[in-house]
Amino acid sequence: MKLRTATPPARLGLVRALVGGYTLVYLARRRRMFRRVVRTERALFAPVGPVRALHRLLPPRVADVVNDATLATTVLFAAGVGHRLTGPVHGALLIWTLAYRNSWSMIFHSDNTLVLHTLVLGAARAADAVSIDSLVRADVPTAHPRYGRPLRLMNAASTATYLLAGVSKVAGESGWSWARGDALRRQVAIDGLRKEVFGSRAAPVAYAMYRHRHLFTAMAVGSLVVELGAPLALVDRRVARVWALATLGLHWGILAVMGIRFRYQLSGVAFAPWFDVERPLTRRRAP
Amino acid sequence: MWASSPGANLSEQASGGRWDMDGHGWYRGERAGAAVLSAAVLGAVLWPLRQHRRAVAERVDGFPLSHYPMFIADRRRCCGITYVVAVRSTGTRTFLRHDALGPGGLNQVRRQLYRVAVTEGRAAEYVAALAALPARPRGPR
Repeated sequence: MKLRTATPPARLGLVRALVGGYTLVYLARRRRMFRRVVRTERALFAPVGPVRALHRLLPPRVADVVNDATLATTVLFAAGVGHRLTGPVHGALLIWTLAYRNSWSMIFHSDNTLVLHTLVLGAARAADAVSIDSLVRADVPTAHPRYGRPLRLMNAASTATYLLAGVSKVAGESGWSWARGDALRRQVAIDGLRKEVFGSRAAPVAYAMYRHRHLFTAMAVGSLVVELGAPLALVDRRVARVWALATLGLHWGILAVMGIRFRYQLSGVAFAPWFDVERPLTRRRAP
Repeated sequence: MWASSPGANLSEQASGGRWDMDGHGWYRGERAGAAVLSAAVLGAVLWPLRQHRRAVAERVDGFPLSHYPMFIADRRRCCGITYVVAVRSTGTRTFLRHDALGPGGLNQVRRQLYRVAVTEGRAAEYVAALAALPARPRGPR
């Protein structure tokens, strides 16, 4: 994929609106839970990411205000209002809010890609179209490489995270034997047991699959191909789309077998930068 | 400066005559800024790879930059799971749902329980605090 390819501003604008819309739903549904989490036992607080800069805990009310400010900038980001200012501010607030929440618990790695995508969109000219800003302005920008580069950077960041996950598997204690599927099979079993003892339920698919070791070998090999092969998606457009669909399938498979929801990925929004998402809009406008 | 003059050079014509654009329609410094952003983002995302050079016990996970440590451990045939059992006045026992133990979902509660009860050895303190709490409503994640 060439960096000089002219890209319509509507593609980047629509991706911004999709990512912002997803974030809005995600944060709004968790607002009350975030308020409860920052009021749990102080001893549980173990700062991660930018929160490590804190010398002491934020008072819960301050944490609430920051959380609500993040929600407010999410609305502005999604609608594309004052993006030159609200874009970077939203990126900074989102990374802080999610890092602060993660500091009270485990790290939710499923939010990594969302944060990276938001930071890139916030720093780019992502509101030149499909935004309130573009409605206010008189001039309509034409297709230009500046609208494609942020999308390619988002995709590169996505592939890098999958590559890291793949490297972690083969560089770990199992080494390349991770591909045999035994480690994955045990991980599924442990995950199911944990769910059972914490009053939840293991996925029925996990019970059905457990006896069939070869299925776990196939899943482990498929997972490594998707993860270690992720950088190849940056080389060719068709390979990229096949990879994006395969990775989307991987996440739905994880949900079916382990009941783990990578919400951003499962929603498909994480893969929007790989596709010409503005096509349906431009077709509708055409006479 | 938007207007182009008859004597404008090729660069100005290609950029619509804007003084702050180059011949390909880029604003001054825009391409350099994009290159710096790309290098910074990709460098930061790949930075956690250096964790693999450390001993397992010394590795540090982060957010949103991670080396995904959950895949590193080799899962053995046997493993330990820390959980809470409630004993009713009748003597019967039951597992407690994660949302009765705290907010944030199963994995958050599980990690918190392990940290407090096992790593810090404060299991008695944990269950005493738990027994004093009213039941919590269910919420997302």
